[in-house]
Formats: sequence, C-alpha cells, structure tokens
Amino acid sequence: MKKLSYILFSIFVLITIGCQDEVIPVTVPNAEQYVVEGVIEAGENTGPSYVIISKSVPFFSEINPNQFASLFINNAEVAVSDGSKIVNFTKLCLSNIPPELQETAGELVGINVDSTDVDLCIYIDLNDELNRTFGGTYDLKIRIEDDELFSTTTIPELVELSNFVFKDTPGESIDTMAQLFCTINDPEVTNYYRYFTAAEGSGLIPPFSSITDDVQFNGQEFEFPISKAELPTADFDDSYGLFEIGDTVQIKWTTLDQAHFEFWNTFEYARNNQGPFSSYTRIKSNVDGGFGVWGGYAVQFINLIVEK
Amino acid sequence: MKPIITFCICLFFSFQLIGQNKYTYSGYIKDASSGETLVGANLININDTDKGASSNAYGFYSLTLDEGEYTFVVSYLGYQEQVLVVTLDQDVSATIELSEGVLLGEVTISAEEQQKDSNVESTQLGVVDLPVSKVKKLPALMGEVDILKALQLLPGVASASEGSSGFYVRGGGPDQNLVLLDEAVVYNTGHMLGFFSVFNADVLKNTKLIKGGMPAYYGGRLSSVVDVQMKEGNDKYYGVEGGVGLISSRLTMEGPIVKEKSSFIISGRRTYILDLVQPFLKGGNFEGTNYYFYDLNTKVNYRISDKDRLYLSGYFGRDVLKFNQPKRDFSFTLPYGNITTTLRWNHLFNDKLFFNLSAIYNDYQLEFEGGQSEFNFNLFSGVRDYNVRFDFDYFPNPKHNIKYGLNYTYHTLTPNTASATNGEVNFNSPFEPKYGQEIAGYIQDDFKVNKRFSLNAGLRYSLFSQLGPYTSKLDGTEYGNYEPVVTYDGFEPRISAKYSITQSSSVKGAVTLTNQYLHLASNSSSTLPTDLWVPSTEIVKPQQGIQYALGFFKNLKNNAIETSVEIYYKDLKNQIDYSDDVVPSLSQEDEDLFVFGKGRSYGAEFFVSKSAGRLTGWLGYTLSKTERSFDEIEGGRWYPTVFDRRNDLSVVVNYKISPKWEFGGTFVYGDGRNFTPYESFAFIEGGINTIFGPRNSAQLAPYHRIDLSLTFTPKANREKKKYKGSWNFSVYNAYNRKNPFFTFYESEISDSGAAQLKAFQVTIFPIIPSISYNFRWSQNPK
Repeated sequence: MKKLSYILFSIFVLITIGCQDEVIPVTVPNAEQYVVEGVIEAGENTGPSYVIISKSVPFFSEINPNQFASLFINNAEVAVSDGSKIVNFTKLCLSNIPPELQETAGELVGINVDSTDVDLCIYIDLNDELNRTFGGTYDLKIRIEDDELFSTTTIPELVELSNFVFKDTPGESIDTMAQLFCTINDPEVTNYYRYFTAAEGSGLIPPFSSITDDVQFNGQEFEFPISKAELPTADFDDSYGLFEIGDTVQIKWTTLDQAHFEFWNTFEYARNNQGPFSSYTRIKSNVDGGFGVWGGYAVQFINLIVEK
Repeated sequence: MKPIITFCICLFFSFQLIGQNKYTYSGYIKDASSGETLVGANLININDTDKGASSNAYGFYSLTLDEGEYTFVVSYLGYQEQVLVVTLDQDVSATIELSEGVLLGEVTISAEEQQKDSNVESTQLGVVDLPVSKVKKLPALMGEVDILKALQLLPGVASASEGSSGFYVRGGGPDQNLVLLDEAVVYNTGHMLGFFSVFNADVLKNTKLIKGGMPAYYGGRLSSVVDVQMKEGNDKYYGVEGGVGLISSRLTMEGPIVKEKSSFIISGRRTYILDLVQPFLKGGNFEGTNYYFYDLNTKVNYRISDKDRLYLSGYFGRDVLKFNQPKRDFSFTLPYGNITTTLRWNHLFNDKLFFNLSAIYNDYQLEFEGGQSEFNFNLFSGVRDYNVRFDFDYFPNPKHNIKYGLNYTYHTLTPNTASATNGEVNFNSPFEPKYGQEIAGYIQDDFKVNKRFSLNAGLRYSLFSQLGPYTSKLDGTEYGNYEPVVTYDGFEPRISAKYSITQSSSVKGAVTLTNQYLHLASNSSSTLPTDLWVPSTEIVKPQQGIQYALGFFKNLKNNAIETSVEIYYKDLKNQIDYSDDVVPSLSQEDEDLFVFGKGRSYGAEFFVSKSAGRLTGWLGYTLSKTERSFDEIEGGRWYPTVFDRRNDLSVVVNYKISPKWEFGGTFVYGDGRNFTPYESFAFIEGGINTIFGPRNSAQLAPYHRIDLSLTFTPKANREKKKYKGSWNFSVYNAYNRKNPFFTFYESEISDSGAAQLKAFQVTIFPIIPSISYNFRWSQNPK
C-alpha cells in the first residue's frame, strides 16, 4: 500500500516544486560484524553448496576495489552437517582457479576481478559430499579465529511450475516482446517461493520483487505471469519485465523455508523502502554471531526459447 | 477512592447551602446577525464575579441566584460586550444576542473583577479555543486555510512532517488525538496524504484543543481532544460565502428554512489542479490519470419549542486517485475518505437541567481496485462506528456545573481485506472484520469552592469488549455474533484545580488518567491514509496514560495580553509499535506485527498571546522530551520518538494596517525530526545492502520558515454592502529555507573504481506564493 502513497506523493511533488541536495550524513558508531551468504540447493542441475564470508563496512566509507576485496574473510573454518556427516568446506580462492573461470567467480560476489589484486576466497563443498535432498536439514558452523557463527536451514519439498507459455504483451502489443505465464498447483501447506531469471547471455538474477508466501493462494492451482528480472539500473519502460522474442532464457524457481524466506523478504523490503514515508526494516538474519543468511533451496530450472 | 469520596462530600454540602427564594436566569447566547449559538460565552455577574456562568457546547447558560437585581456583562471573543440589568424575582428565560466587533471605549463596566477571564479563571489547563476567524487571518499553504495546521502553531503541538496536517500533542502518538466533528470521530483527518486537513474552515464555528486536563466528558484517547463544531446556519438571513484558490474552490450557502426557527448550511470544496492537465495527458502513457479531493458539509436545525431543538449534521469527503496506463492495460482507482452523520436532540427538562441525546454514525473507508489484463485486484479497509450518547448538563447553583452522561459505541474495524481474480480463479484474504463495543459513563463537576479556589473533578468509567464472530488465535475458541471475546475496563479519574493568586494570576494543576481501546500504529515517519486502526483484542491490550500538569497563568493590560507557563509529565503504558523487522503485507494482520511497550514524555510550554488592538498574535515555545521503550526493540532501550522535538517555537502576528489591508505572518522553528540512520553496509548477492543503526538515533536539520500574507478588502469601508470580496496574497516559506522532508542514499562509483554511498536530502516546499479570492454575500449586509 505504501507504493500507492508514493504515487500520490509524486503527483503532489509535481504540483509543488521539489528539489534535492547532498547532505553531510550523521555519523553513527559502527559495529563491524561478519556477513555470511551461504547457499545449499537440492534439485536437478544444482551445484555444490558454498559460503561467502565478509565484513560489514561503515556506511559512509569510500571503498576502492582492493579494500572491497579485503573485506572477504579468507581465514575461516567452515563446516556443514547434513545429519549423517560433517563436511569441512574447502577454501577456494581466485588464485586457485583457472583464469577463464575467475570472471564468473567474481560475478558471484559482485566484483570485477581485473580491478583488484587481492586474492578473494569463498568456501565450497568442493567434492559435493553433502547429501542435498528435499526435506533435509543442514547445520552450518563457522570459526574465524576466536569467533564462532552458527546457522541452520532446511531444503523443503519442491513445488514445481508447469505449462509455460509466452503470450502477447498486456495492453498495446509489442511485436518483439512477450510475457511469460506458467501454472502453479500450490499444496495445502504454507509455502515460500523465490525465483530468478537469466536473459540470453547473462547470469541468473532475482527480479525487483522475487519472494512471496502463499497466504493469498494457499492450496490453489492457477496461472500467473513471471517477470523477467531486470538490473536495478534498467529503465522502467514499456518493455520492463518482458522477454525478447527469440532469446533463450532460464528460470530458476525455488521453494524455501520460513527463516530463509524472512531473510530475503526483509532484505528486499529494506532495499526498496526508501522515500518520504519510509521508516526502516531490519533484515532478519538467520546467522547467530553474525549477519546474513544460510539458506536452503529446492530448485527447478526451466530453459525456454521465447516465442509467441 | 479518596478523591471520589471528597468530591461527593463537597457536592453534598454545597447543595445544603442552597437557600430559599432563588431564581434561575437561563437561555441561549447567540450571534445577533446569524442566530448562531455562541459556545463558551461568559456571563459575568458584576455584583459577585464568582457567581457567573458561561454557555455550554450548545450556547445554553443557566445561573441560579438569590432574589434581587443583578448587572451582567456578557462577553465573547470578537464580539461587543453587552451589559444587562436583570431583576430576578422569578425564573427568567432570555436569549442574549451579541454583535460582532469590538467597540473600543464603550465598555461601561470597569469593575476590577472584570480583569478575570478564562485564561486565569477557568479550572482547565492545556485548553485552547481557536476561533476560525483567527485562523483565516493566518498565512496558508497554497491559500488553503487549515484549522489543524493552525493548531500546530500552539505550544505542545508538533506537526507530523513538512506541510502535514497530522499532529502530535505532548509526546502522544498520532492515534492518541480524539478529533471530533460535531461529536463524530474523524478517523482520518487528512486529504492528499495529510497535506491538507478535511476541515473546510468556511463551515466551522469553533475549534477547541485540549492537551492536558481532559474533562471526564471526553474519553477514548490518551493525549488530546480536538473538538470541532460546524456552524448551524443563519436562521435570519440568506448568505453565500466562497473562495477561489490555486488548487481548490469553495462555496457555502446558509439561511433560514423557517425564520428564527430553523436553518440550514451546506458547503462544498473541491480541488481541480489535475483536472486542468487532463487535455495534455490525452493520447499519452497516462491518459485518464487524475487526482482530486472534495468535501461536502451540511447541517440543518429545527427548534421544535423553547425546550427542544433538533440538529442534523453531516460530512462527506473523498480523495480519489485514478491511475491509468493504457499501453500496459494497467489501471487502478483509489478512493478513500470519511462520512460522519450526527443527529442531536437538545431538551431542557427545566431551566437548570439541559439534556442532549446524540446518535452518531461515522465511517472511514479506503478502497483500491485495479488490474491488468485478466488479473483484477480489490482491497478494502475501514472503520465504522454507531454511537449514541446521553449527556446532562446540570446547573444547580453558581458554584456547580455538573455534567454526567452515558456513551455507547459499536465498532467495526475491517483490516486490509483483499480479493483478486485471475481469469476464473479467485483469491481472498483470510482476514475478517473485528467488532467491539465501548461503553462509558462519566460525571464531572466544575466546582467554585471559594473566591480563589475552584476545581473540576470528574470520574469516567469505560469498558471495551471485543465481540464475535471471531476465532481465538490463542486457543481456537469460536465466538458467535456479539459474543464477548475479551473485555477490558477501568476507572479514569480526572481532576484539575485552580488557585487565584491575584485577580489576574493563578496557578493550576491537573491529573488525568485515560484509557484507549482503538489503536493505530504507523511505521512511517508521517501519517498516511493507508494506516490501519485496530481494536483492543486478546492480543492487543488497551493503552493507558496518566498526565500530571502544572501551570502558572497571568493576564496583563486588562486581559489584552495572556501569558502562561505549563509543565507536564506523561506516563504511557501498553504503547504499540511495529517490530524492527516488519514487512507490511496482506499475509499478516497488523496485530501480529506489533510489539508492546511503554512511553514517557515531559516538557515545559511558554505562551504569550495578545488578542486586542490592531496588533494581535502569539508566541509559543515548547521544551520537551518524548521517549518509548519496547523489550523487543534493542532490548528495551529508551529511544526518542520520530516526533520528539526538544525545541519548538512559533510566532504568529496579525496587524491591521488599515480597514482595507491586513498583514499576517508566522515563524516556526523546530529541532529536526529523528530518524534511524544507516550504520553499515554489507555485500550480499553481489550488491550493496544496508544495515541500520539504533532506532531514531539521528536527526534531520532543524526546521524553520516564515510565512507571510496580505489581505486586501477593497470595499471594507462600505459596511452595508451585501457583497464583500477580499484578495489574499500568501507566501509560504518566504526566505526559501530548504527544509528536509526526507533523506535517501545512493551509491556512486568513481572513475578509479572506488564506491561511496552518498546521502541526499529532499525539500518539497520552496518559496510558494499563492493568491486566492474570497467573497461573501449576505441578505443582511450587517
């Protein structure tokens, strides 16, 4: 509903004459903390589990690529239990992987590897030893010098999408674009969903609003549109969220548990909630001893060629 | 219980003092030209100023005195005083009519006692009567005269944000203000996101703000009462009043239905600024997009007999936003607004006992209807009340004015209930409306103990029940229609006392306990139409507040200058806020997102007002602190609220340059609004994400501005003209202060690849000049 208020506000600003100036921000004490981003997935074509550990940065610091890369922790011990065994994750640094894979690895953490000479490391279940299954529970334990961080996540049952069909664009038809529809048959239990899309030639990214629970449609079967994820810098024009005819696209549809959902739900709301009527929402971390998320996904990958 | 026993003993003995051969002087005090009753007009008994009276909310007065001859001065702000000599050898019923205007030098009574006025003399403190005529002389944003914005210029009242009509009183939340229009609760007081209030000044008679020492008559809110009364309509002559402004126009008509027996008033206001741009939107991406708001006020009254009167008043207002994107086949409409209806029956059982029966209906609704292609979405939320109240006003003798009554309200509060259709599939949100009943009884006595000491003692008992149909979230119990789910009740003692130090100075003190059963939590820095009212339930407990206030009041220069200093301390229990990690959604009810805690607020208010002469105005300064504490927010740390404002200053000036030209000016200064700053950022999913610091631990820059106005009345000298017009030229924010409305952050990456987040401040109101034309036609030029 707040979005409606923004529209009303925008109209009001049109009537008046608003202006904006840079201001010197208030300095607040910074409590530096570890930031964890860990993923474990089950489903066809899913990759090994990994954990990225970094440190938070005082808000108004200026940070260059070397300083950025040095935020990533490379002296941690990471272990995950799947209930039957404990797997120690392997530290994998840029210098350990072939140069042709370094760019892809950099993208994973949002860095251009050419712009830094710091060796950036992540922790990975390199031999894919964990038993990644729907319904599994996974405990994460991280030790960094004297500090310990813990988290637990589950991989719920997968609720798959079906009946993918590209339709004409809503309103005035755009010949070169199409809108993707699919069908979900939501089970009669509480479910949480998140999805990502990849346009031709680019990686999987989440759309502006990628996450939802099923309170509004629990137990129903229905068709709904899937928007193409756009980069934050994309223009909100007539083709926003639509797929280009002829492209090969990938959809990553996931089911996740409640704590994992709450992290991304608060994460997206906090990120999008700037403006005249915003307050603040703290991101609901599921990592004890630090900040971030250790999240399990049940994954369905769908590859499609866009055609009407 | 002690205060109650003392109160009853005093009451008993005071009645024993009533002797023989006493007669009652009673009736109504009215405006001579319109027949409008005057509320709070003083009837000063020159022979013994302690034995005077004032008119009640319906203009009725009653004074019982020993047989004899008395001289009364009848006075009302902005009206000529009238001297009456009355022989009381039998009960006398008389209507007193006062004429507008002050005739300097014609005051014939110069008794020292006349120095007293309500500022120092009344038992109430923290009470301000704000005549609409005064408000109309203030500079206004875009020429829109706004009663709620005028209230924000008083000490102890802070505005919600830049240009907003939302307000906070003595550290109370936005839901802790009881805003009444002809006794009906107005749940949403703002148009256009609160930039304008719903009150059309042309149709208002009186506005009273009570920020401390709330009498037992009022209840249901912790912090303040804004009691707004509509005009009744001229019962002698027809008249038309209106104005044309930059964003809206207004028109009011009034007149007798049966002369001096029945009258009507009807008034409308509508904005049109975006109607004017419709031709430019045609054929574009946003064809059909529009926004406007309108108000309709109407009131009729009928005097059945000297003892019976009927009033029927109503308000209907709507904001309508239509958004249309034909190219994407996307559109929605968002109408929201209030309806209030009040039917009142005044009856005089005898010349000492006045009775009022009110039946009140009010309804606030917010709707949203939109869709794209085959998908359609509807959303509804609202509050609906049916309310009946019985109020008695008893004037046994000059020492006492006793009010007592009963009040019953049936509430229906609908949370955000959504429904959607996608082709042939329907989606419905699982939430049902919540029901409740509120019952209250009260008694209060305004008791003049002796020449120096008087007190207003009262007791209110309130009870609230959540009613079925409802299924308990705690134990799954199902409740049927009207079956109580949970009941809360409590006594609310109210006492305020005055001690006169001299004839022109007094000290006053008050202790007020209040319960509140309906709540609104806003997680925004301002109040919005989408904010939801929720009732007390098995999860949400009633809010409770106790306020201690002490004041010193002094009048100077024959009451021309009024001064006061008031200090207060407020303790609040069961305060409501959203949890730190809240994400508003249609999946959860608001009560499941709340956290519960406590609050405190204290401060000092300084006020100097000049109401006579060519130069009038006031200066108000508030030094205050407001904090909240919730166990679930940062472990119960006491943190300042968004509206905690340590320093707040207002200066209001009005100067009558000549009969044709009048100048108005206001200056406001307030410490900047608190907000929760970003503390650090983290890299997740390849992007920068923010982590917030402690709640409300940073402050925006101070807020200050000057507004100016000049009113030109070309034919001001021709008093007998039926048609009068005036031009108003206003400048808002005259020195173009860039007051921060909000801040936002953006990341910037330099050529060297270094990233930095920068903060930006947005200002929405630079210097804004405006012009409006106001007119008035009256059958009777006086």
